[in-house]
Amino acid sequence: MDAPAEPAPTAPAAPRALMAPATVLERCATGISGLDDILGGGIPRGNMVLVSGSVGTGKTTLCLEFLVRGAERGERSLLLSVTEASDKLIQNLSTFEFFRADLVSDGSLVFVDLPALYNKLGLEGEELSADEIDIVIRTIHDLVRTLGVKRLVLDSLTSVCYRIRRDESIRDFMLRLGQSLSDLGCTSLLVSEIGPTQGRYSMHGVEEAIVDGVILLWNTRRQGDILRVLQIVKMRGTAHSRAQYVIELTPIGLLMAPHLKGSQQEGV
Amino acid sequence: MDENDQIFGIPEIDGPLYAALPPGWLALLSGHSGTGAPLLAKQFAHAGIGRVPVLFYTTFERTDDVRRAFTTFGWDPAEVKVVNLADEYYERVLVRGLEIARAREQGLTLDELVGAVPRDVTARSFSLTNRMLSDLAGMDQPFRLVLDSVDFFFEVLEPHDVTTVARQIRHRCQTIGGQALLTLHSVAHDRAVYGLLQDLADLAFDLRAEPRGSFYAHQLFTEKVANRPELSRITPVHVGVGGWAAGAAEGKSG
Repeated sequence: MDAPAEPAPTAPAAPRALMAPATVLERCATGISGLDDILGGGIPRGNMVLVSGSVGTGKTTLCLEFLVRGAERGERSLLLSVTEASDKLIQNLSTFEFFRADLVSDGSLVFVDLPALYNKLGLEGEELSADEIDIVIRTIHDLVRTLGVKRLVLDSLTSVCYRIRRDESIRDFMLRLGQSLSDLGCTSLLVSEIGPTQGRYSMHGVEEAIVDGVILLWNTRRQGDILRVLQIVKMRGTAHSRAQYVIELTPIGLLMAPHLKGSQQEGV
Repeated sequence: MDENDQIFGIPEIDGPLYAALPPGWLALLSGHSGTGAPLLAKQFAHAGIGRVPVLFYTTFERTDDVRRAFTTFGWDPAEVKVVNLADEYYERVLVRGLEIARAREQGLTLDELVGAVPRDVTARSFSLTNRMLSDLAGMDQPFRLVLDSVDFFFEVLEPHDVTTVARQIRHRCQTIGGQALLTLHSVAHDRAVYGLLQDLADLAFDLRAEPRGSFYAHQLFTEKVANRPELSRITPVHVGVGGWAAGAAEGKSG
């Protein structure tokens, strides 16, 4: 894939001194060491972050590790899945060494299929009305509040917004969802599916303006190999590196290394 | 007239009409509330017992009430397959509507939130039309069918879908020699739709009740006999111990 719309110059990690925040906000450590390093310790607690990328760039895996690491730390973590059934996700997760099935059985890691909630709530039309959008927000809020969820992943925001459609409704939905989750101290990652050459971070282009952060993932080709690349485009509440990092999805989790200048040859 | 050639089992009405009918036909029976059309529909079903399989689709009565009405007049309900479309519609569609309303208003419980399972994508949604027509499609011999009433279909389907249902019933009657009666309220529907249904029917009846002092005098208007307009007529009727019969009620001739 091409580097996305606004490719930042390839650069090594910024010196730690430049990333120190002026005021220290409580952090939600992702548990992915390289990512926490460039975020100055983690995502500011309560932030709503877009994880944006095309197919096969590692969005879901990054998000799942974020949840597992949180559950290990005693933070109840919730995956709201729209596109894949929970059973299948758990099955896929079990191939990673960092996954622990006991976190699911003891309720620390919770999987909920959003289509099942849609079904319970009779949200079956092609497009959600304003009232129905209210119901979706309220239901997610109830779920997070009742379970005391501190980390949430919505996989994917794109699928939800596909049924909201109008830009102003998406903006309103995201503002209210973000406020609701932030009030509950819940840090959230929203998966945004984009095409390899889409030129923006989300389907509608309004999502990235609302969220507190954008983590961008894409594929790039180097000497015949396809590399996954990660870049923090935006993160409110913290200084952060905007450099590009090559990531590797390994059985023990996501590993990061600086994407060296000149290494990017062509997008895939 | 053969004793089997019964429409309602009222000789004065059946006799002139039956000979004019093709082997398979569709009849329409309309009436205002309280005129007794549902009872006449049951009598139509009863008149088929012992000759052909009889299906009685009710959309507003409890099944037990239908059976009780049969026995009140000495008719055996055991030979009639009573299908309660309203109950099935309630269980398959309206109950879900109530559950959704509760979930939307009060929110989902924790068990519902974390234990919800996705909708079975292979599950068939309930279709009032398919429910009835599938029975009909399975018939391979002459039959008698009552749909009491079409009014319910108008509540849940578009008018053109209702006329399509009527057309399909009529076609099935014509194909295998069925006899079907559809009831509907005289004035609850758009006159154009009413007219379309009358056009489709081989027979069209309207049961009316006129006040006569302290009681009502009933008349059955035979408004349409396909290709035999001279057979249209008005017949005084009353309810006796055996159901509807021709003639004014004794002592109530007005």
